[in-house]
Amino acid sequence: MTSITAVSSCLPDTIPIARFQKELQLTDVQLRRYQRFYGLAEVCRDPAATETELLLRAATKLVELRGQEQRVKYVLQARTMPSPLPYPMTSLRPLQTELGLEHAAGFVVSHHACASGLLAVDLAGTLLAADPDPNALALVVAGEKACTTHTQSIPDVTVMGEGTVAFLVSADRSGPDRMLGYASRTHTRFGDEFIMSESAAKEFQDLYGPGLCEVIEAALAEAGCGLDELALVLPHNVNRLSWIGVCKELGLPIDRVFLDLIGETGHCFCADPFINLQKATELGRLRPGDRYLMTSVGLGATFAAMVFEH
Amino acid sequence: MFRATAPVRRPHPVGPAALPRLVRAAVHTPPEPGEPYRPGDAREEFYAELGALYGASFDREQFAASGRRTSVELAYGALDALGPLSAEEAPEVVVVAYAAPDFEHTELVASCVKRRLPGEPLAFALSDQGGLAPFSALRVAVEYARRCGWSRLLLLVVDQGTQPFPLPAEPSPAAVRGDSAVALLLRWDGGERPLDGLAQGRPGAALFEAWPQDAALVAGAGLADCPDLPPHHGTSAEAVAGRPATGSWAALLTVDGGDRPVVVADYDRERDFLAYCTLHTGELRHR
Repeated sequence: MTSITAVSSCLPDTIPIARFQKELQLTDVQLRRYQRFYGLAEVCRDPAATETELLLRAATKLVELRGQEQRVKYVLQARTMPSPLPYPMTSLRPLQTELGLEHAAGFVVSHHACASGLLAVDLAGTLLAADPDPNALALVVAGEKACTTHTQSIPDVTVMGEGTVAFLVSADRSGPDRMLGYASRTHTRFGDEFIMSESAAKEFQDLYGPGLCEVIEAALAEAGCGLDELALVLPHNVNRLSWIGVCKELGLPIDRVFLDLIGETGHCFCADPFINLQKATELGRLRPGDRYLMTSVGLGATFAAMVFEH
Repeated sequence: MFRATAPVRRPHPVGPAALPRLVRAAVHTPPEPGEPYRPGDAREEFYAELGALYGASFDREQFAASGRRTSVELAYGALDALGPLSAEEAPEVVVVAYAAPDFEHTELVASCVKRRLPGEPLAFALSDQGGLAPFSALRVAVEYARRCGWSRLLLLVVDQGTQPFPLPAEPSPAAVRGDSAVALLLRWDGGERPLDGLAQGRPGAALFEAWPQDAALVAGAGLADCPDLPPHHGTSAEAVAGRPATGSWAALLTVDGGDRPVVVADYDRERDFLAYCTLHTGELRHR
């Protein structure tokens, strides 16, 4: 059984989104809507830091990794953007070198865009379940740079942040966060609309609620868990307003959704649900035995949900 | 929709080890050159912004001299060459593997490819492991098949020769010098049996425990300066340089291994990592 055994995150300092108003091409009215209704007051960013540096900051905070390096067989980077670094640069090689993990097979998992983080958990669990070594671990990292016009926001939806996360995955069911069920669906109509046209954006908006509810219900069914059994939802931090709509459609109280970080992180690519896991655990919002749900939606367009037991 | 409970660890797989069977394969290498480049392409602004943080400048001359065929176009070319797939042949999992990213940042190959296929396969991509990414992709595809009770796998390997930023000088293994895509349709009938003849890691005796000595060998370009391999019956095909991801797999299509299994192997000098996998190709030969 797949479990997350430890998680750490790195949140750069916050910057008010008003400071990016020109780059985001927001009118004053749109800016106020982002701040008041979307809950996007600030985002965490470090403009001078590279992707590799941001990922390394999260990974070096993962104290549970120290002394366990030889158990790590796989290093997976969950990635949203198809081409985020000038080739042949990659974050994985320097990251593995710095962490003493050159012996591990390291690769990027992508093309589910921001839902690639949940795919990476499932993929890591799949490899570990088949690994001859029952003590083998996988290190998963996620989080990206918002350094171009196209990557700093999703127009009329969210503003991107640069928070990163690192976590260890095991096939041992004794880990503190056990995966129970997973569902994902890729809607291929959007495969060549990673940067959406106006008509695609409208179509995506119409799909968003039903598409997310569909995978949530499927993941819950796989986990044998009812919606009312969920102690918490650890969402993708796109905006507060969209969650009001989804909660209404699901019949889920909005206070069950961990939205505490939206106003200070923004949407941190694949890293959101895991940043939320680290923070919710730190705040004592999850008790032993609690069941919770992670969600992610990636442009292109993949909807995903995963159920865990804490 | 892909939906599953958590994978369950089975400490003692039953039955003898099994090999994946390659049943259909095709390579697509488009003719050069592409359309004349028109400076001022909207992508140039994106490349300038992307490269600034990393001290990399857009190389217009290199870009203009390249084919500029997107990875989706290349993948579609390989799929077309593979031929139509019936519902009975439709893959249940599709893994796209590449060493060099697409210059087109608004498309996702896995999603686009899935749109062209019958059925509802789980589709995603693996990358950033140089020429070893296809080996990881095959391993992952088989493990998903084993876990989910699937038997039909599609591996799509793409080399994107158009890069916006200056490429490393040869003989770097990262120096991708052209466009190519390979589509490999495989069967895995192993069920819960262990997967045989596949490993990757630092070169050494322990890595080669499952290396079948009677196999034909397809040697990746990286093996030219590789540490010693285990005994084998000579090299049946060698990959051309400049195709870090597809080279070995395109060479595989030229091999007639008879009834022997075929080992595909490559070595990444920069990572000091070697990967190999063993396939049955007899059905491919008879088509």
